[in-house]
Amino acid sequence: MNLLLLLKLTFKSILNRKFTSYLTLFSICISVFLLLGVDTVRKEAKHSFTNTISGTDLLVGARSGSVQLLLYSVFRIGNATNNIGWDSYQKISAHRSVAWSIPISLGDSHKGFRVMGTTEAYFKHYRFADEQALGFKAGKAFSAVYDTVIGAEVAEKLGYQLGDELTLAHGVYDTDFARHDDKPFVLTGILARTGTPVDRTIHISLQGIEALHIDWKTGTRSRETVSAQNALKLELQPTQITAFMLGLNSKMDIFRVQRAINSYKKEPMLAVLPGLALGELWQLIDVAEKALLVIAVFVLLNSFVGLLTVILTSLNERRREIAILRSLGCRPIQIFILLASESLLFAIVGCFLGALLFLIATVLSHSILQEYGLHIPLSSFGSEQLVLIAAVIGVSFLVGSIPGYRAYKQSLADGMSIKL
Amino acid sequence: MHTLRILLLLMLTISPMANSDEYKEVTWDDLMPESWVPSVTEDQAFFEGETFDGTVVELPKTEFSPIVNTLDKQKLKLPGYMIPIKFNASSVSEFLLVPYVGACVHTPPPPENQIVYVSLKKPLVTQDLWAPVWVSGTMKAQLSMTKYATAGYHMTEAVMEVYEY
Amino acid sequence: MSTDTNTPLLSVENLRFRWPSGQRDVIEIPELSIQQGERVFIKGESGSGKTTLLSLLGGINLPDSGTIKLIGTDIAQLKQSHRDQFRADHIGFVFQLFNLIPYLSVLENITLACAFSKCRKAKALAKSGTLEDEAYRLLSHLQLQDRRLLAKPVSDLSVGQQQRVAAARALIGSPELIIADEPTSALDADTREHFLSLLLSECEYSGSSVLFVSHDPSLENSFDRSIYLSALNRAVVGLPADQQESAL
Repeated sequence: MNLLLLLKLTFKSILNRKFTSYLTLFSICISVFLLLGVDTVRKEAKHSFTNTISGTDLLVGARSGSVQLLLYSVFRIGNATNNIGWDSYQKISAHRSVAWSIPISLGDSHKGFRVMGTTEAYFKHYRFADEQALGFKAGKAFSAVYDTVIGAEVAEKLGYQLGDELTLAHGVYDTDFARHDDKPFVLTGILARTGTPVDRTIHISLQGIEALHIDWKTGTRSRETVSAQNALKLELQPTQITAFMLGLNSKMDIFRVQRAINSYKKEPMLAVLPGLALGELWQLIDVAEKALLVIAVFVLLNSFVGLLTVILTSLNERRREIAILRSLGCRPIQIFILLASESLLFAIVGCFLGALLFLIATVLSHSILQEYGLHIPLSSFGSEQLVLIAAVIGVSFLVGSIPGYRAYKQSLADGMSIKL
Repeated sequence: MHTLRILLLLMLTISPMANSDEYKEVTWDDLMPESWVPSVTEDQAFFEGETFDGTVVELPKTEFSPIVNTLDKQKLKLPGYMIPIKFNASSVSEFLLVPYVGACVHTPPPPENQIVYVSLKKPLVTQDLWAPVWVSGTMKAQLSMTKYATAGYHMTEAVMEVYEY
Repeated sequence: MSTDTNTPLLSVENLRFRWPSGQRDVIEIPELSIQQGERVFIKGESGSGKTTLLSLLGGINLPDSGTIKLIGTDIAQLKQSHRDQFRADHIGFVFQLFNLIPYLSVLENITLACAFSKCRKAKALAKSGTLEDEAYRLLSHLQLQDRRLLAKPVSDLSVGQQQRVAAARALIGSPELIIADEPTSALDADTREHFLSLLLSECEYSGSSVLFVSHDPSLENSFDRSIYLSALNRAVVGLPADQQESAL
């Protein structure tokens, strides 16, 4: 069987029809890219999100929805509806069933990165991925009021070094008319990369948050500003926080503590289990996810229809060529292979280019994805993606058999009388 | 990847079936001592003997609801719902097994002797979280809380299968 | 394959053929034989069944009855794949038009015949050492001396040049039988004679027999023998000219 010869002929034939070939190839390349993209983004989104928090038994915030709480407290997406009183936090975290607690306070930003007020407990107890703790790439946790620790992404993007000064802005968007420029912060620590929103966060102490807003009590900067030094002399005990995380002594207590917090009469709060909240999030996203995948599959099918059209139209022009080959001793089954392999060749090259495009895109869009909490490493292209590509190639062979079969039948029927 | 899930479900139903004889099937009632009646007010006074409208109440003496000691070290099989505790993007390795869905939201939460902390022999690729499951494993029924173990029911080296209606 | 000089190269007996949807035979030839090295001119007007006959002799179509013995083998008894291989090994075709594959170069077109037949490839290599040299040798005999022609795309050639390339392809590896179906009909009058003489001389050099089909009687004289298909093919004998066409 002159398989290699047939493939060579197919290849040369395709080269001869450069323009249509390029278009068809482009179409397949794009649709494979789309398919890979949609599939990977949804898997990696799940992966990224799930890896953000680990080992926390309960997340507590002002009463809103569990998905919303999860989103703003862990992923820094969206905002809290209300705050929690400091004494409620103290009472709950002091309970004997609580092993540790991390209070957090959100609301400010710096050059597009969110500022989070918290305590040393954060650096000690926060876990992500598979029970991994936060590590320091440089420096250490804050000790003074105006100290700050930043995530790896912040350091990389803004090029900060230990000892640099940062001016934080009031509100989620950083604009120069709402900056706390009278109270600059000093960088004392840079965290090691985590692949979670921690990388994009600027951490300061709760006292630091209080100091920042000491003259913002009316909601805007008051005429008589308090200097950074003077602020230190004042009472910097926080009165409110945005949310807190709890680690319990016994997992068996989770439900009781949760129930107790949810029914706490003094303040409306919501306690959620991160695992379940994530599950709810996936339920919400699931429909959109599946829809995207279906669309991607249809786009691919559409490309194949285009490919089929191109090959079938060329079939008419190639009847003469096929008759010549038959006269040279080419068997009908070889004619079938000649035509069917065309579709296969397009699919293989198209998949290769589509995968290449996908890999390039993941590298280039790295920073944009980071903003949405997504982290798509190059290693995300693995065996599952290869299975997907293999499926695409398999389908292409089925598609190719259609013109292949037609050519096969035609070659038998035509014999030597070719109607031009 | 739907076919992958179906395949996985099939594998789950087939594989533990081989060993299901060594595990004794129990119900949630078996986990509660016969003499014990769960009291209604137990979780009302949670924070230092204070109820939610401010009145101080006597806290019951026993911290945790009682467990059935004879179940300790037994190989048991129990149906229930999963509440994932230790998980990553693709699998769950430890979870709480509870008798009903919504154990955390609507009704008062189940007492401790109606919760089993399960750690799986092999982390399970996450499927439908809300599907009822059979869990088979070695039960540990402990009364005291030590530094490394907490009181209540633990099931270790467990395997899971989907509950067939 | 016996090459006994007394055995005819091609021997046809009681050949009958009709198309699957046809109601009557289109080929009914009681006897036809061609000797080795013989040059036979088959005069066939349109409707006399010439293309059908050629497809039967080439093993592309299978007769309903009768024998077609080529070099001692009855190809009517062979399976499809064996017939195809037989054709590749022993027969070279030249058609009227569009003989060449448009996306291959001149050289690739010529050597394509060897790609389908190991024995022809061996014979070609034995003659010239490489296929390229052999292709060039044939082309130069057909008065296409420019070696650069080998790499050219087919579309760059004139019709006359294309026909000569087709002849080279048919001749490479010295197949025993050359079947030419109106190869000069698309050429202008001057080129026609020239092409014919080149083809015939090269066939003689190779030792191949030629079966030349044409409706142009002016070429008859160059051949050893002429056969009038309308007389040979019983299926059209007796039919008036206009009915002969519709018979197919």
